[in-house]
Amino acid sequence: MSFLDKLNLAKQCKEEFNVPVRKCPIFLFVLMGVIVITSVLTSYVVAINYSSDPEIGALTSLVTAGIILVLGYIIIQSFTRVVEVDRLKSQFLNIISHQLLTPLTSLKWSVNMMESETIKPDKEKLEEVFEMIKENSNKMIHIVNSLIDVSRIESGKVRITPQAMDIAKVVREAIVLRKGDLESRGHTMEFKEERNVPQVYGDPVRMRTAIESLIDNAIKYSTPHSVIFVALWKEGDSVLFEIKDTGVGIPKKEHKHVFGKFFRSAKDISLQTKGLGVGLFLVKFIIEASGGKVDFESQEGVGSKFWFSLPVYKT
Amino acid sequence: MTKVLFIEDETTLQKTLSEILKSSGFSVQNAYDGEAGLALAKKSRPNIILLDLILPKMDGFAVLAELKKDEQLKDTPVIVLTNLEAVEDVEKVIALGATTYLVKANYDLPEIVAKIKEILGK
Repeated sequence: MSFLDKLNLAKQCKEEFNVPVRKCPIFLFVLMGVIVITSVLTSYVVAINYSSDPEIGALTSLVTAGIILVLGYIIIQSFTRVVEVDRLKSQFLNIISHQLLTPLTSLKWSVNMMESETIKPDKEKLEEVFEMIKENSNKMIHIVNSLIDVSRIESGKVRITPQAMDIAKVVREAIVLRKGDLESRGHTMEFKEERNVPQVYGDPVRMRTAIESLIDNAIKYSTPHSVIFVALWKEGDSVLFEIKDTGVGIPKKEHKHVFGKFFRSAKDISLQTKGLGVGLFLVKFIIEASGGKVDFESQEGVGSKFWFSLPVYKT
Repeated sequence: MTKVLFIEDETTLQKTLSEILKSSGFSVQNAYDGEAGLALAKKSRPNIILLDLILPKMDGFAVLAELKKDEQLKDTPVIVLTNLEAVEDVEKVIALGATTYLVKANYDLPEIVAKIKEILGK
């Protein structure tokens, strides 16, 4: 790095920390230095000019100490964020490698089964193995696609063009698709659909992903044999979708991170549930890009309620 | 017939390993979550237990700790079969009394069968 490059704080912040200049530790450190020197010089000038009035000198020193304290706090916060990002990155790498290793092991063992001399698989068994291979390949494709989606959203390359769509149909189809998962965990789903829910603005394919993601979360975090409530109705110029579970809930201190990318609750990790932590990040993007709003309420040990609204399509 | 209890929540892994174990002369019982696995272990007294760590309802660490508390199961060999590779996880399960720790992705099915036979002295 040349000397001039070293002086270019904006470039260094981008390359070293990948954060905006105002949040960059190097910039904040230089800023602190400038302010400390200015404050000390100001104190000195004030003290000389008002030597007959020690109160003004003392007050100036106090203000200088206050400014240094606030700046010190901001710099420490900035470093904490850098450390936190690093921790999240390691956690994410652990999660992603484990998420990919599971379907990869399934593929490896499926091939082992096909070539096994002790099993000698017949046509029926082979068909079952092919099905498992397809299912696990799809799992891996889904994981990689989710990561690509996140990356494309961040770089502003995903465009959602809202169009007229039948939200009630998308919700009904998503529920039918998750019938197997619901039954395997002994859950029941109560779907309350208002009659003649109008069409909304949205991207039908993306919207299905968002709704499936919300349903998957409710299924995953509900204690076995729970009832999951889903409702769809019109209110003013919007259509509202709501899903409520009686699951583990989200601790209050984590509420602000819920829609962040790669967010996984501490509870989630301790319960060893599976997931990349991108579902709700994608949900928020899809709903908001369609002109809607999304929010939630959750209480640890009681359950969660997620809802979103989408504008009614007007011809 | 030697009884193997396989506690694993991934259907494909359950099916493939169970098939090869059956074809190698073992009797296999399957459980898809920690609680069911522990209950089945207490009921059927298997000769060896294959245990995943990430499981619904009760994780593998908790299942292992409970197995080792049970007078009639504490000497049953437990092979931890997982894709978690962190050193602290390996140390934790060995401290809890697991016989061995195998990273699933690193083993072919015949190698796992050979390991089971080796542990059972067959």
